[in-house]
Amino acid sequence: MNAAFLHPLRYWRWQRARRHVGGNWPSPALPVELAPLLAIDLEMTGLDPDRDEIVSIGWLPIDAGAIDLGGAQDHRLARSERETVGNSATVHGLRDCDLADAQAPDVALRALLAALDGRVAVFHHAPLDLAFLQRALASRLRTAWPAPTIDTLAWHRRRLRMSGTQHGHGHESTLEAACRRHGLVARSQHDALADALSCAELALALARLGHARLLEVAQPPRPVRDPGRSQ
Amino acid sequence: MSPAPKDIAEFLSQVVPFDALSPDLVGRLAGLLIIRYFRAGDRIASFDPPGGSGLFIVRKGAVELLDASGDSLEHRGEGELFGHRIVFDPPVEHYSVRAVEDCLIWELGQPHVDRLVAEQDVVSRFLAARPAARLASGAESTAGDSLTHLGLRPPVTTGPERSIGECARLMAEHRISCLPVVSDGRLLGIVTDRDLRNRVLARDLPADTDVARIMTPDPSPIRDSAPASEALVEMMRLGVHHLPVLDAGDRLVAVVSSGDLMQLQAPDPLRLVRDIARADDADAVAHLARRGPGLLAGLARAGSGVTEVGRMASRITDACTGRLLELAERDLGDAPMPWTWLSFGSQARLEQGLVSDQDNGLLLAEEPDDAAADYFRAMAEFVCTGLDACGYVFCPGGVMAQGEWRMSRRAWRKRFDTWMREPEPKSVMHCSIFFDMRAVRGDSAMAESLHREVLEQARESDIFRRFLAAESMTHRPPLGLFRQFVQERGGERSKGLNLKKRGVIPIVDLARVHALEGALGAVHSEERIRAAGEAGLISSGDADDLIHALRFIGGVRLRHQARQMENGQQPDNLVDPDELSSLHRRYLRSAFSIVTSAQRALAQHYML
Repeated sequence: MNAAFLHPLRYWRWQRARRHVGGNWPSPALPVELAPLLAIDLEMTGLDPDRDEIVSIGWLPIDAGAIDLGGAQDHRLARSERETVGNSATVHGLRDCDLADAQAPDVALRALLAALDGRVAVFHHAPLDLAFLQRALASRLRTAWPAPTIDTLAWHRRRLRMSGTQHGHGHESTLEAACRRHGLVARSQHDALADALSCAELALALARLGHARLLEVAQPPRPVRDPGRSQ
Repeated sequence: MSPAPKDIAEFLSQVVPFDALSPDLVGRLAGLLIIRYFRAGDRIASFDPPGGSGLFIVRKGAVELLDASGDSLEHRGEGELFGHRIVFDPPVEHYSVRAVEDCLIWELGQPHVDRLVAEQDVVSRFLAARPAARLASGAESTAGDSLTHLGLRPPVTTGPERSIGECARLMAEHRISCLPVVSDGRLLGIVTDRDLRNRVLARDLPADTDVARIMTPDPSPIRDSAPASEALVEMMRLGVHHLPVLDAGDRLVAVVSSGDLMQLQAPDPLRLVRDIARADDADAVAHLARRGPGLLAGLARAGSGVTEVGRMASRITDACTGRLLELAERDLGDAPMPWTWLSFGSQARLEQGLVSDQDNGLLLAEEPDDAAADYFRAMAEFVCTGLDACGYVFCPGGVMAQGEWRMSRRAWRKRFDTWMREPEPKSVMHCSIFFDMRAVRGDSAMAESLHREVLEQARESDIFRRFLAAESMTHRPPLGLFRQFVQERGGERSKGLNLKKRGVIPIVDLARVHALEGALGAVHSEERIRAAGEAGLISSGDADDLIHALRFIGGVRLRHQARQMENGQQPDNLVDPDELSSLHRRYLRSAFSIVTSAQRALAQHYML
């Protein structure tokens, strides 16, 4: 297999992680533009996974380069009683009253896990979203994050570096700016589903630029210390 | 139903034909789309045949449609569709699509398209193979509201056996100036304030007279599906202020008054026509007539179609002509013989633009002696000079009653005879407008019989019609080899598309050739084309196409002229394609290709 031959270390890491997680993953040799993906975006009350909470999760499946709006889902998460949305409402536009009819986080997380089956997750700035999701999965469902992830932010930055483009930190890296740079729809909505769609479109554009394979741009999940099952 | 980001539905709701669907439906369709990304140069799809593999929308970027040999047919950009059957010129069986820029393409799967077509007329019409159907759906949003949208209330009515006194009390009680007389839901007649004054009080009729004796029986009705502007034209034609409105089952649903229509149409051409008819002298006529173009421009801006505006413009010209003739007769005394004032060209066809020059003639019952000749010369000079002062400038070609076009019926007949018997290109070009003839004032039967004879002769004269057909080909639509617009050139800069010379006139000429071929009495181009379709001279589909093309091109020209008038410029016929929206540019291109195909068919028919 070509990919394994070119990237033996990555291939070995990928296979080890898959054995460890035991999930249903696509072949690492698949070109990204043909792979089954799930673009995900979260809205949170803040940036600290220890203190802040997930407000909403939106996702869209991508199959062989086609974003299927028919598979889109958008979940508002019910908050724990002590918390209020507070100042973050000015960012994501969800007020406490909007969350009144929200679901228990367990339901949304289970739906997400079901949608992820057989797919690679795509985030813009994956470390932050992943940290929130890993925490929520561990505390709510006693399970670990199961899928490899693609980070369109890191990918986009890598491409900018490769093309020798200077990028100022900050502005050039927002999802909106990255989309604009690739001639895509530049949304500034701060709505989980809309951002997930922007992220999906950006992933398709990046995939078509480099014809990268999953192995080259997707990270298998890091082994995490699972508080529930340690020893 | 899955949710979709808001911006999807927002964009979709601006794309024709989805713009005509309810927000609910557009929201649901948004959740069914599939989004793909293509890089410049990628092949997107191949449609063989088109119309069976979904509908595609360009969200970002641009694509190119290619024929079987890979030659470019046309480009489509943001907000435009492909995947359906598209009429190209010349027609192609199938086409493929390639990205010319990096693209985001939305796809609506065929099962969804099928359901949409089955449930939504707008969509099925749009996706029909005929481009004219698309023109119609594109033009609909600007068409005037129909009477049903006016919010008319069911009228207060009376039976025929009521007394005049009771009716008057009923009208006072409901504060209405018009009372329909109804029996079993059928309209028998109508009584107005004026009838009570003129037919009751002025004649000392007792209050217990039956209303049926003084009502106007069988008043001219209008359908509730008719556009408001048509009701206005009808009122102007009949010189009335109320029209009974009937539904499809001939039941009276309302009475519409000129006041109701005025709410809808701020400017008031009806009042203008009335005021012109009462003007004291030629100066007053001219003063009033100068307001005409402004009013018409306002109507155009308020959404009246080119057909209605054309009719109203001609009615205003008719009113000026009619009043000037009355004033002439008042000064000159009674005419020595029956006469008919004829209008030619666009005024005769009821297709005048915002501004127009005069084309007219005088038809006399017999050869005038010296005194009669003096009388009619004075009449013609008075009217033509008056019209010139009204803004209908002297005809550059000299087709005016004050020139040579003031003749006995026999002389007119001989003229037409010469044109048709010995046609030559130059004379054919000059005489063609005389075949668009309408009586404005005087003995209209005389004009009709002349028109009829001329038509019969034209039908017999193949050679003449062949000349006329050839003449009609001299104005070609402004489309180049690759369907790009060909602009008029003057000096170093291009001046735009001449919509009159290259759009309207070719269709009007085509309509005239067909009218003469079938000896069709209609003069209005739309009616000519429709009649030609009914008579089997052209297919009814082609007739529809041509009518829509004429309306669309005329509409673009009209709005262009209205805009120029508002900016204080002299209206012209040159439209810069860049000032049109991309959608209108596309529609215009379709309309021009309809004209090109019709001309080609005519050329084949006459073996030109």
